[in-house]
Amino acid sequence: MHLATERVLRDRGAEERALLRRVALRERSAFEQLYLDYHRRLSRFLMRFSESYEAAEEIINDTMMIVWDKAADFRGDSQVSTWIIGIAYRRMLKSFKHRDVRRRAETDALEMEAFEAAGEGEGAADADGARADWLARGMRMLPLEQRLTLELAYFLGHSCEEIAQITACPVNTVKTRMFHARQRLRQLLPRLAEPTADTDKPVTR
Amino acid sequence: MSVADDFPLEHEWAVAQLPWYVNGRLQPADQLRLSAHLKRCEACRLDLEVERRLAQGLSARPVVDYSPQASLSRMMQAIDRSERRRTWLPWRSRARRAGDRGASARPSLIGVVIAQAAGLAVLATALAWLAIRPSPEAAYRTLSRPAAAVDAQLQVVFVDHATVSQMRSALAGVSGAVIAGPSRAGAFQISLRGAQQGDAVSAAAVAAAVTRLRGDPAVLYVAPLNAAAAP
Repeated sequence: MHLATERVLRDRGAEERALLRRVALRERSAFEQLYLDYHRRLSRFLMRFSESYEAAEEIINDTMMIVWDKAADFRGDSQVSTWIIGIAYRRMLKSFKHRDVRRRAETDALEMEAFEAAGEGEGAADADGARADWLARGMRMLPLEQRLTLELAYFLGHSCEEIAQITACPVNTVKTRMFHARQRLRQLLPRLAEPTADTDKPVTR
Repeated sequence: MSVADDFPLEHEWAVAQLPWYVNGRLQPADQLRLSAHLKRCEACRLDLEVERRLAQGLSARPVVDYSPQASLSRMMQAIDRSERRRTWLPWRSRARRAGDRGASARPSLIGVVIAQAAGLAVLATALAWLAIRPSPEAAYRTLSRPAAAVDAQLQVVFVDHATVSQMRSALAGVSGAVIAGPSRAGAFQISLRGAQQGDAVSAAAVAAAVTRLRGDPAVLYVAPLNAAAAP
């Protein structure tokens, strides 16, 4: 881990713990600040899985209602961020599993076949925007827990241990899901493994 | 490249760590270990490039930021409704009013009862003339909150030393929920719910609930505020 990243995360964690203590004392201004901090993070994350902001808002507000009710119960075993995102994660699973995910995955698989057959995948790995769209289609075909693991790592930047806390799973389960997700994406998107012009471009966050 | 006896195991370990090498969240010791392995393993170097491409692609998806103000406003309204329903125990203010300094406050309990009875007489009169506000239908529906039912309402005062657990037990015994209170006199407004959502509560059921609560040692006073007769 980069030392600067570690320091930033540690400082942010301390600030959030102080904020949550004030929330536990029913201080509304503290709750509003926490809400605004997490609304942005959670809405960006949830909108990667849902086309409906209303559905995302419902999950965010359900999550933050639990934070309001249970702030006094937070024992500090984890970071505040993993606690809150863990609540949102469980709420997400309930919400998204109620949808007809299987039918959507089949539709996306047919779309992907047509996509590849038409040669529209040519060069898709070269341009950022096209690659993002192409990857998004592949991601939608993963089982939800595998897709969430990838997004928690690469979009939200969580460590393996933090993802284990968020998903309430052993670390080895997280690694297994990540392994299978990566394998499945390489099968679905073989061009992911082809060298491109920007092979050496650093990852920017 | 020489293959050490533990290379296959080391390689298997390294493959699993790559995503967190890419997102910069490996522990320093693991980062060093993986860096050393990458110098020896071309397969992992190629794998690393694929992971970087994947991470880059996921990060490149456009994000749309929604203004949080309207959502926050709805959130705070939901909290307001939730707080009105909470059992609230202002122990400190109750202790000051009763002059109670601890468990051995029994000699002052009669004085407390008399004071509260006087306050209740005033409160009961006032409440009888007030339009009773029905349980507001929650515009924001949480996961566990059922829809509002047609219900009867009671006024309940708990004894000063009643614990949260005793109060919850008393209310659970009559399927009651706090919808307002406590008042300055310590009175709670309790809603009784029908067996099914939308059921009215019969006068007999209200009477049974009143009887049960009066027999509860945690309850000092109970009286019906209104009662819906069964069809």
